[in-house]
Amino acid sequence: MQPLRFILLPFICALMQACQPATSNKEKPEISFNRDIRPILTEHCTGCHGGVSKQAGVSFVYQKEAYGRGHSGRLTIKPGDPAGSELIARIETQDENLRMPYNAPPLAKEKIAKLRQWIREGAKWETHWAFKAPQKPPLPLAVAQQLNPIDQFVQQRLKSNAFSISPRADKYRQLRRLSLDLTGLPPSLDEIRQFIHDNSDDAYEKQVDRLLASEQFGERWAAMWLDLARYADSQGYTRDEYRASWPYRDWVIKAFNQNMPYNDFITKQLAGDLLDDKSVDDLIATSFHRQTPINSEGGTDDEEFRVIAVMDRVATSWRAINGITMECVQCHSHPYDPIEHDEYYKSYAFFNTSLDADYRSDAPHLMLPKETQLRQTAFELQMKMQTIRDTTINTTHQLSKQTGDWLKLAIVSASHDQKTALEDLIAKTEQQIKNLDPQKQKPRLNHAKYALKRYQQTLQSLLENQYKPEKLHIKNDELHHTDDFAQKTQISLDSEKVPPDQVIGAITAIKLTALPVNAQKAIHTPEFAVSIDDIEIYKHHANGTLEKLQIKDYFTLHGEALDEQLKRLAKNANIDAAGGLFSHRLFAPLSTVAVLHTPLRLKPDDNLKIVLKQYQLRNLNEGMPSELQRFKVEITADEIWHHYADSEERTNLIAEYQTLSQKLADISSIALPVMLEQDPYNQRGTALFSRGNFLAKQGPLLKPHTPALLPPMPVQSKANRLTLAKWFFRDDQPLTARVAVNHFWQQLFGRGLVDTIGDFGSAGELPSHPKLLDWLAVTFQQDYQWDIKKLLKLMVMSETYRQTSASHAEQANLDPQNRLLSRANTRRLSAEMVRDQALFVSGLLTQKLAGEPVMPPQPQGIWGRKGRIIRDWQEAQGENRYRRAIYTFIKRAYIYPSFLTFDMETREISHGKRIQTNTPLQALVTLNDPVYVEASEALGKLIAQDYVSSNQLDEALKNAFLRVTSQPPTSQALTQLKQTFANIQSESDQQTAFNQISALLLNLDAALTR
Amino acid sequence: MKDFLYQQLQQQTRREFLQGSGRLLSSAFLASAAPAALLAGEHKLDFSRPMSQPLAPLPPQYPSKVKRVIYMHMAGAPSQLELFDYKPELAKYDGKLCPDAFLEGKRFAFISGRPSLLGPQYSFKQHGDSGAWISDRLPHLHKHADELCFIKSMHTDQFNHAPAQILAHTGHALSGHPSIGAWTTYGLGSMNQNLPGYMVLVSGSRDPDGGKQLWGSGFLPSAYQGVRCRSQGDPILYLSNPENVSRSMRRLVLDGLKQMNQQQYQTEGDPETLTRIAQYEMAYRMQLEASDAFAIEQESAKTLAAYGAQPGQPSFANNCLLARRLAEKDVRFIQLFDYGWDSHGSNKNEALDHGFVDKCRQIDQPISALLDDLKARGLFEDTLVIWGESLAAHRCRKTEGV
Repeated sequence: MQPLRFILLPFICALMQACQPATSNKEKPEISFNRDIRPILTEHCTGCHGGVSKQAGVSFVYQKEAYGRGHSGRLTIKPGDPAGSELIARIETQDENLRMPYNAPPLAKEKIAKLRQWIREGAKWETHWAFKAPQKPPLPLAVAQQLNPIDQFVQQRLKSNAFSISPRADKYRQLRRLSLDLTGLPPSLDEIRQFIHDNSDDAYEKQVDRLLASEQFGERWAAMWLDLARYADSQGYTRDEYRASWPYRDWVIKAFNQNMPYNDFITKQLAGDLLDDKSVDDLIATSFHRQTPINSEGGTDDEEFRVIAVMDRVATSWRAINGITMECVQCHSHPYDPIEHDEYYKSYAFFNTSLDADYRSDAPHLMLPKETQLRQTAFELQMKMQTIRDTTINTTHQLSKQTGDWLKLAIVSASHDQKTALEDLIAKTEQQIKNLDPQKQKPRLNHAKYALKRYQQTLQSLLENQYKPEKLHIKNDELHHTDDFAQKTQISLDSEKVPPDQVIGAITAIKLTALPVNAQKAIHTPEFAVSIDDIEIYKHHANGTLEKLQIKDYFTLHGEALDEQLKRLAKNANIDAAGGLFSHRLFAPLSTVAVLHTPLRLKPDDNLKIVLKQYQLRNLNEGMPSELQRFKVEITADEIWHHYADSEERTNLIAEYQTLSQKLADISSIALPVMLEQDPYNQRGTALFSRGNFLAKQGPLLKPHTPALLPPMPVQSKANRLTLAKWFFRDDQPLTARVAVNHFWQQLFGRGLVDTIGDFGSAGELPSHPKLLDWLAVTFQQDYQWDIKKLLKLMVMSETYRQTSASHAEQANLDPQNRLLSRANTRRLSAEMVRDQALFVSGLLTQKLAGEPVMPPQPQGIWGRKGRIIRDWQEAQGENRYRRAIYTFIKRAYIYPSFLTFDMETREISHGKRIQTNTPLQALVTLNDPVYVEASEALGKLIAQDYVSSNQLDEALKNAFLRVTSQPPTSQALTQLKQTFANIQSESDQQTAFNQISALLLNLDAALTR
Repeated sequence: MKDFLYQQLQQQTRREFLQGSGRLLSSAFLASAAPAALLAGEHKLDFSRPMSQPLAPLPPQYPSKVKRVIYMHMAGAPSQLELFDYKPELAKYDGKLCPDAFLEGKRFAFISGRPSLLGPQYSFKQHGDSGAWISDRLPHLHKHADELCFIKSMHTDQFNHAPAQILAHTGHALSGHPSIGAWTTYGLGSMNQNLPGYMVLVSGSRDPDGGKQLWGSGFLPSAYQGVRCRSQGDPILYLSNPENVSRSMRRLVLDGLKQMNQQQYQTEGDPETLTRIAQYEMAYRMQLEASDAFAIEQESAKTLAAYGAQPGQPSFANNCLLARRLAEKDVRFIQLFDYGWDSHGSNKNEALDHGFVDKCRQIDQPISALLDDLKARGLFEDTLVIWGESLAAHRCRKTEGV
């Protein structure tokens, strides 16, 4: 999005100028820094003298710098003394080499005058308005007056411009607007009639309450949120495979329908996984930040795309919740707002410790049964499994700490042997091929056969080249080999012969650790994957014989390796199969403790031989080879490992884990990507990216923290996403409520009070009604306790909302954009509404809540690249053909074409606002897309039925017009409609004419707008 | 029609020029509202145009020779080393192990250990007065050697197809930015309002890896996205009337629609209504003009033979011919994608000695015919033809596949 910011600036300023008559006070013009001065600085100066570029040491972003001295040695701004301020000297000089703005026309006289006046009056600096907590302004009118507060503020502003709010729109139009705005659907004929005939005082309010309570309410408002949440049913990038995101979409719909308070709504989405007594729904909510695309194309660097996803989460959170363009601070300090470069990375740190890492599988998942009534059961199973997992890793770390005397066993020689590895793999694969069912497991079988062929080929070429095992380097008694070596291989390590004086008694456990080559750097810039599929340990007798040691148990100290181990254990009780070391990216030491079946006494001249099978059977890495580079071995004689491995607790936990995972596997579930945190023992560190480059980090490790320009976050030992979520809802948080109120306002009025929805910073637009914005924000936050429906009701009950959209020449001339709200804005229906209305008025719409995404008719060949999980668009039959737009399958690369034509966002990044266009391609959609053809035929039948029962053509046509546009036709319109009907009928037949009249109605301007 | 447009402009100028940032860049420097200071200076770029006429043509900032672009993108990245970039030294190293100097400290996807090198597989000769080296895979193109400008200095920091293609088309490897065609139609508008200003033709077995965003509008309004033309069914989505609706019947509907929308405008006074009327008329004209543009069967047998085009058989050759027809109709930006150039040898179609040969054959004659045809019709003067890709081939053989 960024380039836009710079292009937009001149225009924003123009806009402010246009607003001037409204804000300036004719009697005594008082200079306000925020209103009058900052916009001048932002437009003309900050580009070169700002947070990024501080030409000549001058910057206007921070007060201290602006009042300081630049390279000239003179004070840039000297309060009270315009003549002594270098700023004034430089904008007034006639010398083009010195004059600012450099290489640009001189500043307008009025602007110079303002700057002079401001400095003369003491150059009072103000914090940007949006970074100060809103104070609830007093209502402009006396309390006794019953006028909706919104109208009071709007009217006050209009009065100063000699306007007033327009009269109400007629009842038909009020209901249409209200119904489409609150539910995304027009009113039905019955609803219209009921409202028109209801002459009670609260007739309108009754409609408001009815619509707010309807189930369609959630579907309509979810459409707004899903743009912000960049929701899609696919993963993005090249492969763009199916992703089962839809339970999250349903969660959003449900949250709106249940009127979940806005603070809970956000908190659950940001940190539902970290809540103490989290429910299955809380976990589903966290899928919000798992809507980021993943790149599973072979050869991509998962760390690169993990970082991109984290950055997206940072940008989305700040923009959607706080209207701050935090992404500007990725590479340097913020150009316009006082946010320092490192503060971006403190925000980044909140999101940098989640478990997901651009895995092709989209892990981690919540397994969610398709049958909703089983969800709780499955959730409980998973929570229990999680507890066992956490207990296991906690115990392992405790034991490791208690083991005082880990003795490092020097590795004296190391080599790797591709040939043995391949022979082993070939034997295993041949066995696998035998075991696979050629019918049921065809893809796996084919893959195995293909793999076998490749192994055989590689082995063949090794043999032809007289292959010999190759030596690996040793350093500091460890394997330390940073040169390339082959991927699928067996690594053998020989330990020293234990000298008699170091014999520590019977060895009970051996700790095997893969180490980052550069541990300090790896914590923030992880090294490549480690993928050891199996481990074998031998006693190497002095006489040369090898004795394979029996392993009783493996205890791994690393979360990812533990997960793999548990997965294996769940399938197979054999602990021997549970060895292995996996890390998708190595950012910290990766250890596993092998507990020996029988304590081992090494005689002098005996040593250990450790064989690591680096077969890379798990595709950890999108084709990037993993190579074990650094590895050490430690031993202990401490008996605690033995005791724990033998304990009933351990045996029971594993058994229970197996039972639980079996139960879970028996429930047919979908895998919903969710947010989960890394274990506290192995967390990524965050350091500042030099110029935003994820490969070049600098400075110390940074802890999660919020920017200093906003209210301080309490210093805690462990700030996480939940801390951040709670911080967003502090009483003195200046932006959360304002930004939320603005989102809702935009949906109802067509434009935000702050038009730059995602930017409340200095480069954003000033609010058209600052007091109204603050009043609404404080009311929403404090009085309403974040009650969304209450807020929406207040808005739609206002006269401002209910007024007519018809404009008069005077209004159009003086306030062409209608910023002052002296009339309603006519708005085109959104992409979703265009579809939903056509299906609704033709009686086709399936009103069914929630569920898997559906595939309504779409021309063949739209998916230019087929999927593997869901191969192609499969046109729905039956009720799924006519579901509401929000349930339509969203493949990021190939969005449903008619939605795109009607300006739906593509869901690659978060969007707060759709830019509406008006193009001939839209006309082709509503005239010719089979969906609309089907709708016009269905509507044509309804008209025909009407005609048959009333025998009145006028009546049938009137009703049809009312159905589609929610208002009766004027007599002129009816005449025209009849004329067209007659014309078409004369060329065809009656039913065709009704169908064509339906098409005409669905394409009316009055049908496409509200 | 003129009166109508005048009326529309009258209504719209001020209001539309002042549209908020919702209309994005549309209001960048405005005659009616811009501070005097902005106007005092030199001529600035002016992208202001109502979003109800998003494709209205705009004058270029500088006098330009080129009016339209035909951009052919070979998805999958053909090896430059087999086409235009002759490396005689590399031939000497064919089959030898890659020197350590090229590998030290680096890690490559799909390659581990020490790969061997691959020299040019096809013979090169110099052509034209310029003496440009072109391989024997593109024999038809040899005679155009002096009309081509070879840019061999392109770099990328992406090595995967999708991000590299997105970078090549939007300037960013990440999603969300407008494509080069979208920027072009945004900046210059369209010369023919009866056709989309940016049209996309795709050949090969599927779409390029980067998908629709290669011709998407990113953060610009959706009106600037490329319209992907189809080789089956309607060339433009929803172009044809439904089966049982004749053109004259559609006219009756549109006449009624126009009248009723006019009435609506009389009472409501919303200028967008007038725009909508205009868009429906434009759609009606587009139905004819686009259908006509795609009717390559209208071409003479000689022309069809020159391109190797066969009506009804989708191909790159057909798309080249279509490109010329669209150029004739003043479409601003015409983009051709051809899929299937990832010649890394994992199967026959992707092998340098099989699929690559076929792909070269599929493009050589049509491109040459297109250049000839443009010249013959006087379009070569003001049409920029670009042939490009998104990645460069390296010459290390892949060593791992499973």
